[in-house]
Amino acid sequence: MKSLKLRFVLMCLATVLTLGLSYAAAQAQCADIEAGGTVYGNYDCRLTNVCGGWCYYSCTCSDLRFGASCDDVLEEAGFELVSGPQC
Amino acid sequence: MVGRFLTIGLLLLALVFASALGQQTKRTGFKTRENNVHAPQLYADKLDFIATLVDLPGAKNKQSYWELSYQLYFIPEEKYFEAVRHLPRGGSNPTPEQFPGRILLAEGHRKSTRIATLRDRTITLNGLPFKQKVPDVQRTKFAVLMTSYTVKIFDAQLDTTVTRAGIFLTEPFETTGGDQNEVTARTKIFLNFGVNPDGTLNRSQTARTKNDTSWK
Repeated sequence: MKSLKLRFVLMCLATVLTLGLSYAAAQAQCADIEAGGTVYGNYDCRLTNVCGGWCYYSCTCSDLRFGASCDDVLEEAGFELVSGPQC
Repeated sequence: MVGRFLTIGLLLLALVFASALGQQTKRTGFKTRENNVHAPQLYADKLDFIATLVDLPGAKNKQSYWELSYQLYFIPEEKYFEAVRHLPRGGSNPTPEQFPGRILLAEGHRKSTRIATLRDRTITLNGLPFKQKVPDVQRTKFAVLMTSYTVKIFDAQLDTTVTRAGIFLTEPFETTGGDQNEVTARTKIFLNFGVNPDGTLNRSQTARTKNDTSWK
């Protein structure tokens, strides 16, 4: 029983540590450029604003596949559309 | 047995939170790029460069200071996208040296120890020659203006030093009225920083008005 309690406390500490490190990493993680390609076309996103723990980008798309839009490309690449920074 | 379940459960919980924290990219707009469209009308004759330390908790503390080194470059469209093709897929933090063919438009360094007012915390360079420095053949719509910076801010109230180096990139033009087809020559380049009460750094290249201390 004592060993179980000890293990529980240790795991809680490990969880808190993991969360803390993840948060710190996320804060520092805004890349200046996010660029690549998806099945719909290529994208080039440039960092415009870092605040409130979020990275805001302005993007351009190129080489769009037939029928695809820039929205399709960026959605596929994981960029959520917002009207503006909410910090 | 119970201990093993607890271990796995807590680890899974940590992973879920960690992945949720990692999802933090948002986009505020987009444009569809046409390659190498000659657009000299979208190049301003002169540029203004405005760097601002918008706010920090210890602004009125005499020991607080900010130090900024900056370079403003023009990168020809073809050279920029060629360099980007060599970057790792996804996120990257390239340096100006990774963009051969760049043209230096301005550079400077300043350490300010008087930062009590917004005016004290603003660096303005007016009338930097732009269009004349860019060969006509390179005046294309989707060429790039790059601001490279190294910033160091000491907030005496928080007793914290914040440092950061990076780049901001933008086009020679700006959109008007939210329509990507309505564009005019960009005449101002902004570089904004702010220190939050928790000691984290805000940074942006968003346009701002003269006396506005809200974050943009």
